Amino acid sequence: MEDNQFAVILVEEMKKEFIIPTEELPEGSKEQSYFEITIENDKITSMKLDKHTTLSEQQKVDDMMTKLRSKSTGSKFKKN
Amino acid sequence: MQKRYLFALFSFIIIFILSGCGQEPVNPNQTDIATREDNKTEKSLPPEKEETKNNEVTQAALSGLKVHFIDVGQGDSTLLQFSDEDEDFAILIDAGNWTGNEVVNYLSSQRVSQLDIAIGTHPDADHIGQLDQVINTLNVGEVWLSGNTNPSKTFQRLLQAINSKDVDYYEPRMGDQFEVGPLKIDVLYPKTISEHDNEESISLKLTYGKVTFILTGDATTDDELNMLQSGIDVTADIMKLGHHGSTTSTHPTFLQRVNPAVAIYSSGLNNTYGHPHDEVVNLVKGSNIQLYGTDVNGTIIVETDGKEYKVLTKKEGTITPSSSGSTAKDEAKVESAPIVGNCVNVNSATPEQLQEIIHIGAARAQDLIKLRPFTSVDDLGRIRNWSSQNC
Repeated sequence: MEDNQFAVILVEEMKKEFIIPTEELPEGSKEQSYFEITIENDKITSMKLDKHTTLSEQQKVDDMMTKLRSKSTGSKFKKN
Repeated sequence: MQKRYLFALFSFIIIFILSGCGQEPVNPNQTDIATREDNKTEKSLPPEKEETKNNEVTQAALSGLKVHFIDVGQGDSTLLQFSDEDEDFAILIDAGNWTGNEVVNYLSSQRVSQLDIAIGTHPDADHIGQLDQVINTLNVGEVWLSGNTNPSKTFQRLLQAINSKDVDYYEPRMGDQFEVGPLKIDVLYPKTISEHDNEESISLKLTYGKVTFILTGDATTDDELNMLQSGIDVTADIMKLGHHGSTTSTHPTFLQRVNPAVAIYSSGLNNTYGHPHDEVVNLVKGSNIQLYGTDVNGTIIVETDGKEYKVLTKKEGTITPSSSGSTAKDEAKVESAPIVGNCVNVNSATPEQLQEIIHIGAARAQDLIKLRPFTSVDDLGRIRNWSSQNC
């Protein structure tokens, strides 16, 4: 994290990105975390780390990846 | 009432930390939290400028390959179009930022209705952002991902699209070789994955006849050095600069070993991260490599028959250091492209310079000068006895 200067927050329901200095993130924040946020006048006014949602959403992704990989038969263009 | 609604609506969001953007933001504001909405301008206009480079290589005739470095703002998307014995091929490498819809629109404008392969180099939302739209809209044969994951809804939509459309799925690894018609693909990276998204971007060398391309997603300088250790010949004519021209990519040794004649980056005008970074611009320009960027040049197309290639840009402009500022870029937009290296601007070159272009002799040079300006390659058809095979 020491080399990272910016955090990009995707507010998917709004289809909008917020870019903030990493020092403004709540303590314990890391990549790919979910947050509860409050937005007022197009600015984030509060952020709270949501560890539960982070874990549950990652689990959904892991399950989908497992399913995709199990169906994968390779690439028809592969030569070696 | 409005705030309550927003609070409920925005209960869950996801965050990504950009790795190593080693430059102050263009518009830093340490007290207020900045917001950004992406530019959603359509990117479907034809190229307006032509430059030509000739390679002295003899080789069996190939149908043309067009590599479109699509202007998707601050994101990445590259389209390959080619054909072989009446069979058309198309490959997409990355699909822009998640907030836009430029990629499907651009593919539509190019009459691309099917993709043999759609590649997401890594799961960040500025690379796989519109890949779900692409899969849901076009007929996609197979999707390649690095295998690294991301819990964002954007990435989940991508996985759902692959699953629901029953598209073949593959995770390429270093050393893999593919042939898609006449196009050869060597996988440079990753060897393994460990949820380091940028660092383990799918990195490829593309070979079409004698013309070669390197694309490395957001791979870092360390990864570039690892690629060199793989033993694969990374020499290439055209290099896509990693991570939008950030200093986190383009190690001097890697650039030296690739030894490209042309370098291209994809970034949005006046982006918050200062891409491309001055250090990279200076390194590339100082190496006498022609530099193009989607922020300055718009969509950039490299056309090749496997022997020669041309670089076409939607907008004229030359990249200069400190080009991340609006003033510098605005000035760059209106500069006429100088003659650099082996490239010739057909709208400003002298008769002697024009004759350096293959298929153009003294008579055609005079005709060309009379008919200036030319706004596209097809526009060259106005020259007497000019055929599309000359392009």
